[in-house]
This record gives sequence, C-alpha cells and structure tokens, in this order.
Amino acid sequence: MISETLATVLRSGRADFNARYEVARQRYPVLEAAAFGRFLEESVDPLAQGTARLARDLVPDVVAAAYDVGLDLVGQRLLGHEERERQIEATWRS
Amino acid sequence: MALFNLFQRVSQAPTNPHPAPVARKFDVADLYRGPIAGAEETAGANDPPLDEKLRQAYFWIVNTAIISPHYDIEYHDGPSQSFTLGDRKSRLVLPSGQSYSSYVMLPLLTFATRSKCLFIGGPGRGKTASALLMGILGGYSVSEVRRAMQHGHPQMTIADLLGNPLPADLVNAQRMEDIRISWRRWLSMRVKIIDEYNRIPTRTQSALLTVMGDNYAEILDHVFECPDSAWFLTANDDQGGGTYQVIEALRDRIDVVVQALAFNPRFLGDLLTRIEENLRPEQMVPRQIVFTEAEGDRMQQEIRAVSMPEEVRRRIEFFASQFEFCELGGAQFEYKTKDTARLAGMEWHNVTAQDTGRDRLKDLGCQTKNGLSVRALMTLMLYAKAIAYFRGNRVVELADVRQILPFVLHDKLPTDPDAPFFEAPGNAAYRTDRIGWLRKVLDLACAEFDRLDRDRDDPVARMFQELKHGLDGVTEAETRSRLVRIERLIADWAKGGKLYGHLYDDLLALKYMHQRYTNYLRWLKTQ
Repeated sequence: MISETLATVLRSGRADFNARYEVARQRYPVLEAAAFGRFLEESVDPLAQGTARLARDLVPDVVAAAYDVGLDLVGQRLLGHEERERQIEATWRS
Repeated sequence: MALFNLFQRVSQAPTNPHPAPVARKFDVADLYRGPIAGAEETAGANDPPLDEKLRQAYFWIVNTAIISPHYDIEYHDGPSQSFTLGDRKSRLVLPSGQSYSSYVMLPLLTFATRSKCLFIGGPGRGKTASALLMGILGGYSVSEVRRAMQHGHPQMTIADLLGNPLPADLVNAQRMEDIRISWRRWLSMRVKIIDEYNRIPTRTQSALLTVMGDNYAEILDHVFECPDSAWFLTANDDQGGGTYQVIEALRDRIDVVVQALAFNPRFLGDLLTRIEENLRPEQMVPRQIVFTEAEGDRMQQEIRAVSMPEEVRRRIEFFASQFEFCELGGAQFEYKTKDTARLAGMEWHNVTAQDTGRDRLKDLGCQTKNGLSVRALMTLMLYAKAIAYFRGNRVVELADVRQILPFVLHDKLPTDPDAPFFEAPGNAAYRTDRIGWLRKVLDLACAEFDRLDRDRDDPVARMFQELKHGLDGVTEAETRSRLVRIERLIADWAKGGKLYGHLYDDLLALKYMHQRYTNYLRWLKTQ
C-alpha cells in the first residue's frame, strides 16, 4: 500500500492519471499495468515522501513528472528484472 | 394529481439488463483503495450508474414527453423479421434487439457528449420542445431555458446575441479595458439553444461561429470564455434556406443532424390527454433524470473511455478512404483529391466527365462530391462511443457505427445525384433518403473490406504495427529491408492498373512510412 502523501495526489487527479496511462498504452503496446503499479509503489512513493519532507507544495508536480517518466521507462521495458533495468532503478532511487 | 405523478414515473428496473462490465486493467485507485479511500469512492453509492440514468432519461422522454413511436435506430439480437410491402417493395423491419428513436436518442447523446445537434423539419414538429427538454435535463428551470433560448430573426445583431457594453462606461472610459460588458446569460450555460439559426443575419452568424467553434465571445477586445456545452439548433430547412444562407463554416460545426419524423395520428389520444389535463412535459421532468454539472463531466469521461476495437476502427478507415480520391484533381500524387478540384473552382460535371476507366457503379467514391474531414471522423468516433455507452457497453460494436454514422455524416457527405449508383434498380430512393443511403454505403464498404479479407490480409496495417513499436534498436540492415518491402508492395500494386480511394490512401501511408525509415537511416549513418 502506498503512503497517504502519494495517495492524496493520485486520488485528486485520478481521471487524469488514468487517462495518461491509456495514452501511453497506445504508444507502448507492451506497457504492463502490474509493472507500472510496482514502479509507483517502489520508486515514486519514496520520492513523494522525500519531497513532502522538504517542500510539501511541490509534491503534486514531482509526482506528475515522475509518473510520466515512469510510463516511458516501463513502456519501453527499461525497468524490471534485467541487469540494465536494475541499474536504472538504482539510479532512480538515488 | 394522480395523472401528474404517473407522468413523472421513471423506470426502476434496469432499462437494458447487461452483465457487469469488465473492470479496467489499470486504475491508480487500486493503489490506494482500502482504509485511505476518499469520499469520492463512497459518494453516490446508491445512485444508478450514469449510463443507466441516461437510459432512464431516454425512456421517460419517449414514453411521456415526446411522442415518437419510431425505431429507426435498429439493433438486432438474433434474426429479425422483415416484410416487403407495396409496388415499390418497401421493406419494414421488426428489430429483434432493443431499438431507439433517433429523434430522442441523438439529442440525448449530444447532451451527454456536449456536442452540437441540429433539428430539422417542418414547423410544429417538436424541434424547440426537444431542445427545451435537454436544457431541463441539464439542471436549468423551464423559465431559465426559455429566456436563454436565442431566437434567430433577420434583425438580430451581435449585441442581441452576445451582450452590450455598459453605456456609462462607453461614455466615461479612457481605455478599452475600462469598458465593462454586460454579457448575455446564455453564454455561461451548459446547454445552449439557438432557435431557427438559419434566420440569423450573416454578420451575426460570424459571431455565433466564434462561440460555437472556439467557445468564446468577444466584444471590444473583451473576451468571455464559455464553458463546454451541448448545443441544440433548429432550422426549418436544412438546405441553408430560410431568410439567410448559412455560412459553410457554421454548418460544418454542427455534429449531428436529426430530422423530426412525422407524427403518427394513431397516437392522437396522447395529445388529447395533454389538452384535457393541461399537461406540459417540460414542467414534469422527474428530478431523478436531471444531471448535475459534475455528473455531466463524469459522463463525458466515461464515454471517452469506451474502447474502439481495431477491427471496428479499420472498417471506419476503409469506409472513409473511399471518398476523397479524385485522379484528375492534380498532378502531384498528394493533390489528387476532390478538395483540390473544388478549390480550383472546377465544375463537378467536368471532373466526372473526364473520369474514365474505373467502374463508376462499383466505386463508392463516385457517389459523393467530397471526402470526409478530420472533424467529421472525430465526431463519428465520439458518437459511436456515446451510443455504445448508452447501451451499457464499454466496447464499440460495428452495429453502433452503422446506426450513428448517417446522422453524423448527414450533411458532411453530399451525394452526386447523377452518379450511376442512383440509376441502378432499387437505388433511386437513396437520392432523397440520406440516412438510408449512408447506411447502404457503409454496408457496401464493409462488404468490400471482407471481400479483400482485410482482417487477415492487410500488409499496410502490418507495416504500421511494425513502425509503432518504435525505431529504437532497429538496425541499418533491418531498416533497409523494410524500405525494400514497401517499394516492392507499391511495385506490385502499380501492376494493377486502376486506382481506387482505399488504394490511394494506402499508397500515401506507404510513402509516409518510407519517409520515416529514410530519415531514420540517414540518422543511423551519422551515429
């Protein structure tokens, strides 16, 4: 389950976030819902929480930007279990 | 009072029983549902889904408000009976599926999608009454809707339509910014009604066009941004008659045209009841079928989320590709279109007289004087989604496209009445029956699509799919191989001789892909 910080942002923009996913799915036919969900939980959630500690008002913009980048990364299968993908994930988290 | 309550009754049983739709595959809400789920998840839990509410509105209107015992939007759930009657072998079909009256359905779909609908038909056939009902469904009172309705007349000025600068400000202001404008109330409404739009003077039509097309009104450099709204216009004559010619750009902004069908005198008893009880449908609209602004917004999103399968989309593509091509339109391949000939001022009969070689009876493009615009195609897809949504489906079927297409393309695809198709036995009626003709043309296009086995044998679609996967990682050798495949396919087709509309569009698509790969190859060489 994600933090309340990320949940608040997703809840308030649910329709928009879902629509962005659908558009990305048209562009990247291999985009997987489960993989993208994992990315949001494991990568975007810590980012949202970290941003909230420093500048709470920037959280929505940061989440939106990370969401779009994540769609591109997951849609191109650059995040997952392969070595190259683990490096990208590690870079993202740092 | 008992009769009044009877008229206000709304169906409680599901209006179109269906298995529950399959849930979306991805929803951000799945990540936060549970103890932290917000108020939006629980609000309105007892309210019917919006598509059910829309159906309730339809059945209330058709059973109580507008006497329209017509089922010209026919759906079939299995075999249907049909009968041939009269000397002209007129066909009467008894549909086996739930079917609808276009006169009620199209305005409702327009309301749901916030599009623009034109009612046509003789006087006294309920055009204005139907538009009034849509305003009430949008949550406005009867008096609000009546007062906000714009009535076209030959002396209508821009100020009548949009508003006036405050006289005191006009006298005292030193700058334009200091002049305040008293905007007309109707501009801010989410249901807009223009009665007899073909009686508005041309100059005022231009101001109306700005509002309809760009959703804002302007007076003295002051701008009023209008909200997204559903528009309902009425006209007595859809040929642009009335007092003024309707400017083409304004006509083109209309999304659907619906004809007021003739009143069936067998239902005179219903009219008599209204007289005797002094009942007015617009004053009896049940609250349960009135939509709030938030519901309207949500319904629009849900309609847009209805998916269109590839096999349906490709049939629309094939249908749309029949009409624009005109071999004599230009020398450059891209300019071989009817639009090129029209812009050059060429007389249509001169174009058709020189067009030889093709089978003008079989070629669907020969039946029309122009092709389809982007706007018309987008409207077609949106309304197809809307009618699927109305029927409780989350996926568009070909039957939805077949039913909605004639109303969307009603005045977007004018016929060439001299085309050989209309001379063929049994086809003369299509000269006047625009709805029937458009359905027939779609059926013929789909038959040709099946004959060519395009679902399985469509090399252009396969190449597009390949390109859609992206160019990342595509090697120089593979790029060259794809270029050769495109060139070979075009060479094969060049042996065929005759050029038809769908072939023309496919060739342009192949040229597009060839250019993409050529540019990519040039870039690869620089890496």
